[in-house]
Amino acid sequence: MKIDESQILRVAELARLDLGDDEKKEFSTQLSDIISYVEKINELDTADVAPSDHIVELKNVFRADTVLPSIDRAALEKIAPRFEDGHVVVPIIIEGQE
Amino acid sequence: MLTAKTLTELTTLLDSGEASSAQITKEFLDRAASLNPRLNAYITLNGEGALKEAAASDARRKKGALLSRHDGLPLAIKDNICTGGLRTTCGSGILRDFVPPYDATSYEKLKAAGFITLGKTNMDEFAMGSTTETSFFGPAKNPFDTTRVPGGSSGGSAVAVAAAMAPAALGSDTGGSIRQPAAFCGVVGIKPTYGRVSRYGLVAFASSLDQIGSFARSVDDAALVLGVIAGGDRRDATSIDRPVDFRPSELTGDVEGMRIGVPEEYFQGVADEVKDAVLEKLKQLEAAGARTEPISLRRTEYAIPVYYLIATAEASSNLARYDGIRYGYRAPDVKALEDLYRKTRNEGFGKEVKRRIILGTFSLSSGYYDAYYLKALKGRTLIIRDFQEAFAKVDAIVTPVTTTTAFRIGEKISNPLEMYVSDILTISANLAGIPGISVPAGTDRAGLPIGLQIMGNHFQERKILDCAKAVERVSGPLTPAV
Repeated sequence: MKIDESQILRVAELARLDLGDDEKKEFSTQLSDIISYVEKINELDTADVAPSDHIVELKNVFRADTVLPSIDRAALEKIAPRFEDGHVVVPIIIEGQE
Repeated sequence: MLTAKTLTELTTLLDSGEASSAQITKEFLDRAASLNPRLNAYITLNGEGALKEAAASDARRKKGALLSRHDGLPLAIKDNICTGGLRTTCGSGILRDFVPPYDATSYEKLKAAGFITLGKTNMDEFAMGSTTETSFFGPAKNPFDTTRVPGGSSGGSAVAVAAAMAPAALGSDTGGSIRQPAAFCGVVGIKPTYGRVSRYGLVAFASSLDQIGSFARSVDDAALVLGVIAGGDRRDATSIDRPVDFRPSELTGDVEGMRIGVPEEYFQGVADEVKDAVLEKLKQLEAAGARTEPISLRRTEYAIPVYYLIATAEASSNLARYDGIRYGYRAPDVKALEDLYRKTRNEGFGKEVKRRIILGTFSLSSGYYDAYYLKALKGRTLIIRDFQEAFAKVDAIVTPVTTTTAFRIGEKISNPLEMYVSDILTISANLAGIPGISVPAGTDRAGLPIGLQIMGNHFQERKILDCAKAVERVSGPLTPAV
């Protein structure tokens, strides 16, 4: 399947990536090649095959409902790009009055 | 020279009092500091921290209060394993200054056993690559020929061990990221069974494939480190608690009666010198009492498409967390939240990471999910079946690790598909969750290392380590001239 620049843009939007013009061009060529290549899996007969999303037998893991320490707020303040008065600060979320 | 010693030999020196942890640690740090400008194996050297830890270990030894038999031994840690208080970049610009507020379980276990952390090793960004060329901090170099790649993504760990800048190292393996660089750098590298080691604190790339393992210059040492970090963990629901039965003292190197499968698919398109080296070792294993037989892993050629669809889908989801809000890089001068996400991610991620996020997002997106992602999950089932059929007949499977020896820096980086296809011999083990080890099997005419891979059934680490030990006996160690 050929992936054109508009498809790349749509997927980039879903992934919150703001690609430059060069990247859009480069990725659409490369991804067309890669997608065409991976379409090889269509040769596999999977009519009665169940999907494996994991190799371990996943089962619910239960534990006692005990309170354990989590990461301290002071430690989070150190790694946050902006932190004030106990909160992570972000830019405007909804446009409106100041 | 202490840096030429294995962990096992260093333990003896520590026990006899011939060397202190401080001496050993300092020698490795000095050598690492002097070679790093040329090899770029480490992103961060933990000079001061390591010396402090070593002094504390020596003090414990004096008091007779050792934390374990390994107290005072140094090693290196791949930079996608969270080390509280010590920068963990994952080879990415988006985590360039990230200092984790907590420890990965594997690191916690090493510390609890008294291991010293020499530093954090270079890697492909988010472990996405086969050469370390995608690292934000520049490529690591192969110590056997610095114009060549060391492999990846755990290239820095392989280089550090090969060039004696560390006696051992942790790595992670999602599609061959331990075994392939081990092969290119002539060291031992083991990826255990999925679930054997807790992934808590390992920066997630593809959660159903990622597994932490070890690098060392001997099979015993690789087993020793793996034994320390193995075990179930309540913070990783996919980890499994199984007793460790592969401590160095338990390994015999005995392959008498071992049934070894040789899959023809793994010898197609492999360079003659690599193929011949592996076939020669197989003969030597037969001479040591193993029985070899041809087997077929007939769906091997589908492993690349299956792997790259699943790995990128999981990656696109895992990497959604890098948004510039709570930690990591944040793009400056942005007015609105939506722009912050986009700008941060665009500036913070490198090209290969973006390429894989796009591919993964595509295969998960509406209209394509069934044809690509779901189809790949079904393909994964078939690849698992191939291995189940094989392990009904044999104890271990022996193959080459790579189709060629180390290629040149820059040779494949501009052609992602060619790079992906080069992982053909290692990715199936991740899809099936089985353990695999790379052990040196000589060199090609240019003097570049060749790796031999042994794969075993789930939790059969001991079998593949014994087999690797038998190979090691007839191969001998490789030492680069750096």
